Amino acid sequence: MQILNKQSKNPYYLQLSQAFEKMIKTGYFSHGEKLPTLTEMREIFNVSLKVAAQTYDDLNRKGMIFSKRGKGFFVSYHESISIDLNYFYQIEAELVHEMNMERHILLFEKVEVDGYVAEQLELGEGDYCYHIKQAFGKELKNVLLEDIYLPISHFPKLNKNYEKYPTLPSLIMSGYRYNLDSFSNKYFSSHVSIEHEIILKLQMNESLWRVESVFYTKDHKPIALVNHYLSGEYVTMEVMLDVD
Amino acid sequence: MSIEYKNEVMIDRRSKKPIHEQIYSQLESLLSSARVINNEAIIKADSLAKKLNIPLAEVQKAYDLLEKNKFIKYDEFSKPYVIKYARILDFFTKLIFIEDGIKSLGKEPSFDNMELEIVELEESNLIPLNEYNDKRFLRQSRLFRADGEPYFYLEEFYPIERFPKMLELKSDFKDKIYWAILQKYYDIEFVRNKRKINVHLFDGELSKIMNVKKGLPGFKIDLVYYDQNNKVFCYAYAYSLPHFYFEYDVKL
Repeated sequence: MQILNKQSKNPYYLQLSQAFEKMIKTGYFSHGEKLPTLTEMREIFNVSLKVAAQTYDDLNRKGMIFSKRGKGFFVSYHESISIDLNYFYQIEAELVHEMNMERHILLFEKVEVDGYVAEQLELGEGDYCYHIKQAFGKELKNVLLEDIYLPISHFPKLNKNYEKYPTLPSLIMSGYRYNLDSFSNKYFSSHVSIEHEIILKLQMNESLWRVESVFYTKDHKPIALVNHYLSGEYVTMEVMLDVD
Repeated sequence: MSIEYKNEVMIDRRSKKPIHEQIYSQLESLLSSARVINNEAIIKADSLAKKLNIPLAEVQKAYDLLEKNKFIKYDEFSKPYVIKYARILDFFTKLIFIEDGIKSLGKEPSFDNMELEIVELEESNLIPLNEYNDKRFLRQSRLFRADGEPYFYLEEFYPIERFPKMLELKSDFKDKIYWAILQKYYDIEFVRNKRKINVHLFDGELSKIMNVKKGLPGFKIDLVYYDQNNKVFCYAYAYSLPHFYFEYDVKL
């Protein structure tokens, strides 16, 4: 592997630990994952055991990994964010504008709505909806997966306009000039399924937030239904409340 | 979403665990995952029994237990449906006075005092310990029950530095509510609290206390209590049951 640079002033262990730090931060190794053992390190990078041990020592000091006696080295680092419950609708904007994440559109299709979606959006059987599946993330790590349902009657020619607006509220408010008024959110704790395992790079037996939001306009008509999936490790919800 | 139930349920005929328990535990974790949604139809007991080639009585037993634990319900044609989250956790009124919340559900509230002790904390991700010279806290853990069933687990920490009177509390104070004592001796009134809500998976000890299966997801709530002068007077952890959900509407 071409990580080590002989000409560099930095010692090997520092070069290795910086490379590992980058891999951990971008999600190549996720929280709790086992890292190669010292002897495996020796073989992969062709370095001495001492250098391998120094690398893990350095990472340990930075709080990126921890060791279990007799088991090996594991990733302890995980990024996390706190979201005020009153501003949950800003989560996309926060990820895109504050944390410089990218949006990946995974699916964009027209579907005939059935029971659950029709009920939430107050549509009749046989009406059509856009169904968009998208993920937000940085490099290798996605942190938010969304299932969006937008009724075709409210959003004509969406396929041409959708990519111009980085967040859903901006699409609805600036793109289509609807006045958003309120959001009804339901918060669930859930299990990871195969879809989340692949897209959010989570492991089975990890916890997951599922937040179901319905967007309402000024005349109390539901205009969008979004199912958010967020890693439980990554997100904490916060709220301050007065006792009446 | 459609799920091939016959591929989801694996029966180990050599296992000592009864077949209906095997079916139940596998369906329970499937129904609490994100793969099924509310009100989705689930396979009928007799067709599942036929597909797995096991007696109907065993499957029916598992389904009865699922119905009792509010994972499924039947419509008028006795077709089973998924109820994903039978219990709404109204964080914003019911968590403050848990007993009132349980009463409002039409259930009889009660609580067990699990532990009452003085602990010296070395580290904590909830309590900013560097703000306290005396690291001793009165730790009180309680399990709230609704109709005798575990409902909510609460663990509170009162700083001894602020309330030295707490050191004198004997075990016969066990059933008393501490806020009354705080009000009497320290003129402290509970005015507001700050909540940090995480999702977590139930593990060993806690799943035993709450009587739920290991590995099911629920909420963990970190609470910080403020008095009328906006000073912190108590820290607490709370754990909800799995299959709770909560609603929080926002108006722009």
